[in-house]
Amino acid sequence: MLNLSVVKQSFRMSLQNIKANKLRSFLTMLGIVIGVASVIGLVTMVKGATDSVIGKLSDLGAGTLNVNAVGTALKQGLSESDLDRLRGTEGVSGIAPTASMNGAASLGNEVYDKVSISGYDVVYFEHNDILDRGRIFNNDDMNGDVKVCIVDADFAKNVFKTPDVLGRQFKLNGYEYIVVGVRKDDESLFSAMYDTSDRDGTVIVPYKNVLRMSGKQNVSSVEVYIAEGYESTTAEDNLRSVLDGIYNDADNSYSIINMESLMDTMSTVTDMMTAMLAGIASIALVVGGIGIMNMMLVSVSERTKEIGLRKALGAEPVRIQMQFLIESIVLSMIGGIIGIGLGLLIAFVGAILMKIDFRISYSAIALGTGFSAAVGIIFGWMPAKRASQLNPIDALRSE
Amino acid sequence: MSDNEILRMKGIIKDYVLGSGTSRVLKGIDLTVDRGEFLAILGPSGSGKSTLMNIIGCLDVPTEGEYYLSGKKIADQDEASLAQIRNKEVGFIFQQFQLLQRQTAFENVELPLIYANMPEKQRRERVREMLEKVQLGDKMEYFPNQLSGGQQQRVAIARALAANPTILLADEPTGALDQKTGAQIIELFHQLNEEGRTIIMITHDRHIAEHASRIVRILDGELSEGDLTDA
Repeated sequence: MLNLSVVKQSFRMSLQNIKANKLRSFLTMLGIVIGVASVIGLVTMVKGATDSVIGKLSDLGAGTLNVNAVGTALKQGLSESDLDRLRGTEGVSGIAPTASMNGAASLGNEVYDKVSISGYDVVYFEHNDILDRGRIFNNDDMNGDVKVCIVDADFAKNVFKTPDVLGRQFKLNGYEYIVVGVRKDDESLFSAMYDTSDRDGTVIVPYKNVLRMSGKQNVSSVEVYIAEGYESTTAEDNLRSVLDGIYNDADNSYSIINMESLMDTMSTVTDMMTAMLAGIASIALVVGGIGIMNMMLVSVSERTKEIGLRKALGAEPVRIQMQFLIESIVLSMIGGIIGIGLGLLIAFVGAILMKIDFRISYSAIALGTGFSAAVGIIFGWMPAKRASQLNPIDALRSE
Repeated sequence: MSDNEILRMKGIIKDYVLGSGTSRVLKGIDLTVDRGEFLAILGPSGSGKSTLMNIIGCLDVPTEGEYYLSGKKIADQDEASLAQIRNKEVGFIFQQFQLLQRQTAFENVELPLIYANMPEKQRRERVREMLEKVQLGDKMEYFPNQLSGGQQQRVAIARALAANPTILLADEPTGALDQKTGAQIIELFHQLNEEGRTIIMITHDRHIAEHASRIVRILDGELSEGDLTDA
């Protein structure tokens, strides 16, 4: 009944009819094109943005908790013994106190007063691979009299005017420092968020030096590394107990950022957003489908005589129905393919403009293809059925 | 049914249901046609000749009465069965040619063969044969708008012959042609008839009807046999 020749012929005729009515076909397909393009474009961009962010969040360290402990009026920050208690918390493999401040560097007669100073300790470098060349701190550096530092490329360029700065010396907030390492370019999420073009650069020193330079006794931020085999939430709960103990359950004495939880939430939110976007874009698909149904109805009424002739020559109703159904599927699938191409183009341009990744979502493409085929079938059904039910005598007689 | 009979109608009645009531268009038609006949059905408009043609061509079924074509009873069958019967038994030729404008002559003639599920290679041979028969073998790839009226009607005749139907059913075949071209078409009909084709031609023009070997007249839904001296 449904032989290949009829399908091939219907396919060929669909293309002929589309070519013969280029403007009309294009306008009909527009709804599908827009619908599919918006689904593909939005989903692809969301995926690219999410992957970018999750990637950078990962760099910040899954398996890391960031504790910010301002403290209370009675007790500010975390003392050494507090830090030991944190170190000993179950689920914690190590901690790295951090500190930061702004400062000024001077070399010869030049003063550079827009320097960012970051304080880390040895453990930090075990979990954060930031060194490009030179060396990281060791335990002697942490307590030594010789002050060592690691600088970034901006600092080397602005202050020393050369990338070759290992072993060079300069004054930082009045103290003599020697450069032992250069860090890699910071591609983290946070650096992307802040514009550092008018700063002189960053200098990394042992954190206790920062405390001394800023006149603080206690550290207020710590990176906590989660031990293997522990859930981030478990370690987080344990930390909270310890910190509550330190601050006597005072409100707002500290906060903990759990990267992993953040990423999970992010994934869930983006999944939801993607589904919503797809849902909204589907509305355009429905509109497109209605456009197709309209065009097919017009096409059927314009070709009434042709249908009558085909029936006279021996086409059973099913054959007529199949012919018109194939036409509407071809129409909607061409629209779908154009829409996919357009959607990917939009996503590509968007990725460049918004500096996010360009990640092709094959499932979205498959969905777009499937949807356009489905639209062709669903919205082409009624006109095709109508065509098949035409009375050949009346049809032949029509103008 | 005698061996030579290919069409037999007995007591054919066709009613149309209108808003106000029913209208009886065919009032009890009896007709037999033998193989190889060239029959003209002559009647003015409104005589019911189109309705009769539709029933002969299996485009419609009678309200009452019996119709046998090639020994098969054409009863109240569904549209799909009627379509298949038409494909095998009836070759239509229309006044306005009714060719598909966006298909070549070849593709037009091929159409009934596609519906007959003939394989592609066989189809190609058959189409070529038919177009050559009507002297259009060199115009296979032409579109209808590139052909003259007479040529278009010849393509239509090739199409009607393609599936080797029992009867050729022609509805005012020369109505859209000038006299000279019309004569050529009638000449072609003669030729086909001499080869053994059964042709039934519907017309209102007695000069055209005279070319047939047998004439029946239809008036007000009733058939009468006879030559034109009765007119």
